[in-house]
Formats: sequence, structure tokens, C-alpha cells
Amino acid sequence: MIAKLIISMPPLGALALLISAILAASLNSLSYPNGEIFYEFLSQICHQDFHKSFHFLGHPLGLCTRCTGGYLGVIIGAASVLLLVRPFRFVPILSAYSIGMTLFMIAVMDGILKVTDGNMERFFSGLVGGAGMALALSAFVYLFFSLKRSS
Amino acid sequence: MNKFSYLLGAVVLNLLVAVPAMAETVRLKAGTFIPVTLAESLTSESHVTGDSIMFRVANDIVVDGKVVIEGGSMVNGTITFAEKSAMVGQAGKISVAMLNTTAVDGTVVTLQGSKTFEGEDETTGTVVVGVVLCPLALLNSGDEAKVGEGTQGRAIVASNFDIEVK
Repeated sequence: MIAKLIISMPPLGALALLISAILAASLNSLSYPNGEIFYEFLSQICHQDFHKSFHFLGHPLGLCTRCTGGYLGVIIGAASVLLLVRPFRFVPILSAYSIGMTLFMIAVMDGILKVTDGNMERFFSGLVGGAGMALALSAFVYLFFSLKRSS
Repeated sequence: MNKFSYLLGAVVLNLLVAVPAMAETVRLKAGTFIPVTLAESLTSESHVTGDSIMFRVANDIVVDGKVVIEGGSMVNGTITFAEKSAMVGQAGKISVAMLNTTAVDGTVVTLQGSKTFEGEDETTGTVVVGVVLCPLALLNSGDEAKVGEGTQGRAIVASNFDIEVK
């Protein structure tokens, strides 16, 4: 139960950031500068390059495509684990952790080396990385609690 | 010769009527997003409040498939606030505003948009070092605000404009 509670926190944070990114664009399209507060807040964590952002109602989202994909990936990854009754019954926890970390590292390397070009590619790279991070984190939390239970 | 004059007159008249008819008016609505980039470098040390600055429109602004503002068009801006870094680690600060740009038909399009940049503030560290170690450290000033050329900004069209496009 505590493990699931811990795992559910990052996707909630990610959801809040995605909603803020959409609010930034939609509020600015309704009446400038109402969305600027969200842009300012999100500028602390994202470069917000408007060439590398999806546009909503004619305005760029408050997060770039890679970050949007990343946070969406965290939600999808964590939700997949949370929705399974016994998440790591079929895949050993350590294997799940390794797979998650590998996906995350691939996305990080892509971000550093700029292998992908184009907004959709960047979005999917972020999505894979976010899902991988959520999977690795979930596996780590389950591993921690299973070790605690057995000791 | 007389027939030729009539024919030539008819062609000229036709062109005079037809050419203005080819021009079309599209409405650039209030609230349209205009991506801009800074056309020069700024620092809170070298600029003062009221200085004129220039931005560029980052890409073509298209309405109903017609370019209404060309990418690269200059955007007039101003520095609305500039403060140099000061003692006790205070950082420099610079605020800019985008004022207007020119559409393809020469219409001056009024814009809204502002952005504030700050240097690194060192107040906490300076106060701690100044109080604990040496009061002379209080003379330390923070970093100036520096904004590089190409820095992006968000501008919004302030009101509706009817732009004549070809």
C-alpha cells in the first residue's frame, strides 16, 4: 500500500506540470498575460523553445516536446505499474529496474547527443525516457519494500 | 492606329481594375502569438531604462494561408526597467517590452509582451560571509543581468489589424 502511494506521487506531479503547460497556452490565448505566470513557473525546468514545442490554440505549450513526452511517459509508466494487481509477478523486479534504467538512459543520451530531430521524435524520446524512469522507480520502491518485509 | 489605341486603353484600364482586386485583406486577430528573438545582446550594466532595443520575428506569421508578417521583420522594443548589480550581492535586473512590428503591407502592428532577466543573486552568501567572516565581503556585488542575442520572447498582437496581402 505504501509502495503504491509512493509510486503514485511522481505521476501526480507530472500531471500537474502538464496541466500547467496547457494552461499557459490556453490562458494566454484567452487573454494575455494570464498564462505568463505558468510560463514563468515552467521556465525553471524547461527551455521552452517555441520551435521545439507543441502549439495549443496558436500558443506554444509551457513545456517543450521532450519534456511533454517525458512527463506523459512518467504518468503512463507509473499508471501501468499501479493498475496491475501484482506488478512484478511476471517480470523480476531487478529486470524491470534494468529495463527502466536502460530506457531512461537512452532518452538522456538522446537529449545530450541530439540524435533525434523533429518534434514528434523528441516527444517519443521523452515518452520512452519518462516511462522508463517510472518503471525503474517503481521497481526500486517495490524492491525496497520486499527487502524490508523479508528482513 | 485608332483601333490599337482603343485596345491599349482597354488593356491598361483592365489592369488598373484587376491589380487592386488581386490584393486581399485578412484580419490579424488580437491575441495572435508572435514568436520573437532578441536582435542584440543586453546587459543591465550597459543599458538603462528607456533604451530602444530590437527584436526579430522568428518565423512567418500566416493567417488564412497568407503571410501577414514576414519572418525576420524587425520588432521595436524598449527597456522598461534596468538596475545594475549592487553591493551586498544584489543582482542586476533588466526588463524588456516588445512594442510593435511592421506587417507586409506596412501596417504598424502593436504588440504586447515583456520579459525580465536577472543576474545571479549572491545576497545570502554575501551576508553570511560578511557577518561571520569579514564585513568587507558586504561590498561584493551580484552578477549583472546578461541577455544574449537570439534569446526568445513571446509577443501578442494587441488588437485586430486588417492586413492587405497579395
